[in-house]
Amino acid sequence: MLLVLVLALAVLGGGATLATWATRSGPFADESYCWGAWTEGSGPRVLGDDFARAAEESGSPERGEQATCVVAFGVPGTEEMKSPDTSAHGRTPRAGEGAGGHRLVARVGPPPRSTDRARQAWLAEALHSSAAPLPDGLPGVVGPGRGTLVLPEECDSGDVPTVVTVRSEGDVSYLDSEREAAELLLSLAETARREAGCATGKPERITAPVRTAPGEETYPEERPACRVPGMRFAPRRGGLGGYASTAGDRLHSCSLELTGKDGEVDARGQFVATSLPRLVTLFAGAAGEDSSRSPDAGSSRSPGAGWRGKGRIEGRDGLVGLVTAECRGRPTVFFLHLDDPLARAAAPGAREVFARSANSVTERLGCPAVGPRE
Amino acid sequence: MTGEDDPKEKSDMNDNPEDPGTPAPPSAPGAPGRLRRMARSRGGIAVVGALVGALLGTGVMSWRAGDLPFAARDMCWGSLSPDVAEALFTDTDVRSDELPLRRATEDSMHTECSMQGFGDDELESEVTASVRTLGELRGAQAWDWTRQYLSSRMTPLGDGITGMASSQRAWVALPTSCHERSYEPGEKPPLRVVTLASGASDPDSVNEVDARRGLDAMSRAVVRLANGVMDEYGCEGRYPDPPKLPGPPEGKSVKALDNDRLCGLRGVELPGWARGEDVSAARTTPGTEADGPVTGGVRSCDVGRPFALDRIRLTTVADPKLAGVVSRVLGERADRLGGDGKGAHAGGLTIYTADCQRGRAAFVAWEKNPADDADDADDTAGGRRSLGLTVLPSYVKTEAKRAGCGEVNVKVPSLPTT
Repeated sequence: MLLVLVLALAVLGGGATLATWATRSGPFADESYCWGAWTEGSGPRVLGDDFARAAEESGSPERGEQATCVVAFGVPGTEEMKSPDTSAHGRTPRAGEGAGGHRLVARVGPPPRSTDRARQAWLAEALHSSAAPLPDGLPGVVGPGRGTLVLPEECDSGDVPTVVTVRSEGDVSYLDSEREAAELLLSLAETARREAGCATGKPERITAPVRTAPGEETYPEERPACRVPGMRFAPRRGGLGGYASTAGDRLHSCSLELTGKDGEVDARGQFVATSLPRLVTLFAGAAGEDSSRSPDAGSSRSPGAGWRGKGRIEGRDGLVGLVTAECRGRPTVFFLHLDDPLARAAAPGAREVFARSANSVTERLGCPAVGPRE
Repeated sequence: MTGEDDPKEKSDMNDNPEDPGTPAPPSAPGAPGRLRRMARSRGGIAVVGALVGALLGTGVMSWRAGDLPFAARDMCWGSLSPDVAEALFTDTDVRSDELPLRRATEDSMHTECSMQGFGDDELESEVTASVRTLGELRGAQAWDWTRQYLSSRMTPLGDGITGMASSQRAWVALPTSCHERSYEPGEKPPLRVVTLASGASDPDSVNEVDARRGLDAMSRAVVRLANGVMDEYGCEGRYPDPPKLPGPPEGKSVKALDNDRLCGLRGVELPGWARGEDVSAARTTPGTEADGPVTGGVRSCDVGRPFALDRIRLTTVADPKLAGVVSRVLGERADRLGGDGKGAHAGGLTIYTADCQRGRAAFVAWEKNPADDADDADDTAGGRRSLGLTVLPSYVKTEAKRAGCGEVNVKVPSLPTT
């Protein structure tokens, strides 16, 4: 269930310059990859002696620019390492197509400018719920195959945050734990801050144990999806599954997949409620209305009758709902995106499911309902 | 999750090392102390207990003696530095003995470390550290732990740590990624905790100064203990020292009872027949708000006479792993309850569970001194009233919302109405 193809859409920042292979800076120095963020033998298994690696950087992590780095790795001497695929848009083979190549993909840059599909696809990847919130209050998530961290405000370009993501691509993740993914993520973040000239503050560090990411769950019709009361679906065909992340006080997220008989994912959905200010910035304008991404601009309207706060609910093709309302004194984002087949399966309807899901979270947090009460 | 705006105020225990905390009552004076001293005097003698469960059961303990005498060392599997350990005692002479943390046997249920405070070379008090697989407890053992460690005396440690502390008890859950042994993919490792215990879990009175010092000392020591055990297991990550916790949980935190809002909960009433002097005070888990989320995963409320609080305890356990432990307390012979979740009732204990946003949550009503009629079958027919069964439906309905379970209705056997 990889969402890799979708990722490719999100990558491109125009005119990215290719190449710059990782180079040895001295005859005995350890090789390093991705602008120097990841050094051979620095801990994670994928950077160890068991693997050969080839890397390619496109762009450099400057403020407001999109930069991508791909590290292809594999057993030395194998076919895939003779012609490693290090292109930013490399396609990962689907299940059943053989092992294929394994890649670590590092990305640094702002969320896509687009306020509709591309942004929603990006959010679905960046805050995928197979990752758990980072410890020590850091604004990000990490799972065994992925990690996302929003850099501090001094790295913003205008109102737009800079986001660092790491993704392990391939049939299985070769990252041994959430901790390894977190280490790769933080060293990439440190490098990105240095390159972008915003490394003035303290580098982000993780000292506390990293949470174990949630496993995949299935949601039969009689159970609420994502374990959120009010999130009900009655798909005419296919099975509903997903990942329900830790339902914390500051971040609650869930990723949904509607899978057909052939095992292909027919539709996806994502629900997020967060009051972490850096994560809130990722949603500005994500309901597709306004090119301005200031957190206030473009969401100055009421989302509809009975709703508290500001935002927009767009239900023409699938559903995208984005509402910002105060909860326990904190501006909190409530976001639901459903591809069309899921929106049509929502019971009793997609808008109702958004309202009920948001209200389930406010009920748990002990703040007034955000959506209309029925 | 912790917010970046959480206070990081540190305990100031280091400033008063000569002024330490817990006034644990003398527990096993005399002979054990002398035995221990003999063992120590020979130094480096190791007597390794192989089957701890059996040994604990028979009351015979084999301890591995400490290191060289006179050398200040970190106690309890190398996790507690002398200043952290000594803060747990009023005595200055603190000695420790421990069973090995990793043991040759497969059964890793429980291992212990004993710290003892000596005054005038006589044993005066004892604090026991343990590492145990809570997730495998059931029945009376699971209840015994729940009763002692989830009372309203316990304050959540916060800061992303799953754990609580009072001046008498403390616990921290080891992270799900950290185990003594490795588990197969798909195998679910059971919940494992480190605990500290000193004297009675629910003493009649603790003066406020001692309670404050005890809470500070216990909360710091239990986090260090968890870090030390994680280190021994080779797990990565260490918890920071906890902030100064709200409290102390004794004395002033006991409030007059609002009969219409039991434990501060809107919609939860104390029934008329139960009102009176005997049920006039309540204490709720410090640092939690009645109308807020169950942040630390546990919220308890003890209700009764002002000092004893001995009538009933209501507990919400929103942490799924802990809720699993609580759900295994009552066995098959308990009377089942109906409704949207699952529940059972036996003696004065009622436990109800439901599926919620974080997973399973458990709700407990425990009558501490149930009127014990000879014919138990009579209690549903109106022979005697159960306060627990009377209050549970409204308690669960209110707390289930805060635990993220939505609307949960409980069906109890028909109760007398007056």
